[in-house]
Amino acid sequence: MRLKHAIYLMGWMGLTISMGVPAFGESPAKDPQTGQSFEVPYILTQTNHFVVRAIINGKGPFHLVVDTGAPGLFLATEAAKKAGITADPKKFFTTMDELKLEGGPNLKKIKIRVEDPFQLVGMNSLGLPGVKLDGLMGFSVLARYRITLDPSHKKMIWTRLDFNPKESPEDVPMVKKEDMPAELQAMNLLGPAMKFAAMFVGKQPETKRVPQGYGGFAVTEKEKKLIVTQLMADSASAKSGLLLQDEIIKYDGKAAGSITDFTQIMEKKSAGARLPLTVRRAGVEKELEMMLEEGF
Amino acid sequence: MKLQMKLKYSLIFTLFLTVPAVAQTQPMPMVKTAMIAPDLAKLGPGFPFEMTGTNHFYVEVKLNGEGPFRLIFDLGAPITLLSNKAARDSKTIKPGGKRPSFLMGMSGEGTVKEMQFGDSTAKDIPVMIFDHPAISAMSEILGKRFDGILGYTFFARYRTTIDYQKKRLWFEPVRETTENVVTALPDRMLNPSAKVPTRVVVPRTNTIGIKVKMEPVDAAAAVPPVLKITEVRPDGPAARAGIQVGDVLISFGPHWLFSSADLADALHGDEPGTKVELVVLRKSLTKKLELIPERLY
Repeated sequence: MRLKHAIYLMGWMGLTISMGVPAFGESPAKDPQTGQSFEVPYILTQTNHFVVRAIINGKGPFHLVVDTGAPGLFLATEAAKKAGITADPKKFFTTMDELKLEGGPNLKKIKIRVEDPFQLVGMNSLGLPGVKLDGLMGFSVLARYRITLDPSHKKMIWTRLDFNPKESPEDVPMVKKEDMPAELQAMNLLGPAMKFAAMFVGKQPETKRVPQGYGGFAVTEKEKKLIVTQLMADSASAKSGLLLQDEIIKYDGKAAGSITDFTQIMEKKSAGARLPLTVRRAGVEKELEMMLEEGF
Repeated sequence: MKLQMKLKYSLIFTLFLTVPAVAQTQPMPMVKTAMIAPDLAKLGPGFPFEMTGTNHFYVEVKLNGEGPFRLIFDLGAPITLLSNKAARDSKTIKPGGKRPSFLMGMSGEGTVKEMQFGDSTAKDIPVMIFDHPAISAMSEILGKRFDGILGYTFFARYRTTIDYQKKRLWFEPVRETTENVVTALPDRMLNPSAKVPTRVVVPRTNTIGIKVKMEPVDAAAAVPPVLKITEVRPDGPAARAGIQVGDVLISFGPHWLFSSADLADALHGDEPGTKVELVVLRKSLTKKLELIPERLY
């Protein structure tokens, strides 16, 4: 009885049953993007979530968590409102016109669930991820792509498959909160609890992202020496008195290391930051200070 | 009726984020690998996965030579999670050791010495031991035992390819170990002085020879263009490509440009000499231009 029930439920939820029934799509029209590969930039949040930016119905950008643990696409009520989506309270799913992801993937007319999962409510109220999370992107979107995720790169690769997971019907009846298992109810309470905690701890502001500053010079490592090999006229480096062929022997108050080490120091400096340098020029040591500028 | 409710809740209940937060203290240096779509023919048959029937998928792995154990593969989970039973059966914790606490059987942390999937083995995977209610509910409804969640602490080590159509996964190792996982709440949350926004400098390896300013956002516009070019360095890559002062930046390669930090991100990582397509808005017309960034600090 129980199994029958479960299979029945899975059936009308439009889900596949694990053994062998492939979820081949019913959608008759082939997506024009089929076979195309896209580089999809992502942000790894401070809570180790992979976040992709999306434009929904022409509005945005919104931050969506790539989540194979989510069965569908969930959009927070606030984000849905911004995107002009009004959810029918009598229906489980709402259809949205267009989902555009950064890097190029584009889906039309897909079903979403407008809801505030407790995880998003809790994390957002404390500002833990560093960016505001607007939703979760799960199976119903991800299954249409072959996705390669390389944590050592800032981009994923998404290839559109000739495959659409079965659509779910829209008329799934709503579940009353009090009917859910006690433990799940407890988990759902975590969201508001974290909101409450935020009153004491205080909401953490979003991370401020500032670009690396611009010096306008290039350095090459030659026989374990760091040599200035390029210098742009009127740039911060030129203004500091740095010259071509100078050997950098100290930076930031410490002895010069490898080019990788120098790059890592530079990666932490934004416009307005100072870079104290000691250079050797024709056998003579000289101290300089560069003030990095804004520029790309 | 109760069963029906449970199933629905496990469906809408996303499995990720079982523990409020996991912070990484020491970011690992990134290993460089080629950024091209993987050649699946070269990667071999891959590793099969199965759908659960709730639109989740799971893999069967051996833990410390025991098992197989069924783990839900969850890109949205910041940690890897094992049930108390699986932790005991896999000898991740000693039988009769620490008693689980009353709250969802939270038994703390452990380390799986060896996780075998197909022919590959991952070593020393940090795990949380915890009876997740959604996992328990799923096991009951589907009549199949699930043992935990495979999360970030596992896949941070691999270039992972997921293909739902073939129901296969491919893993290529990119890192030896995962970040040190802090199971407590992040410092910044507990530290009352951390009200100042965390400032992150977005690294940039390349330049194109421009300066930009953030334009005030037009509230009426759905997706407002915000980055306007204020200076173009003569003879720089931008000037050579025909970019002009006053152009508004829209995108750079696959990157959308909504802030100067986005531009830094877009200018990070590509090898010098890589041609990139830049889209600008000039007098309300979209123009596509190609340029080759140069490497400058």
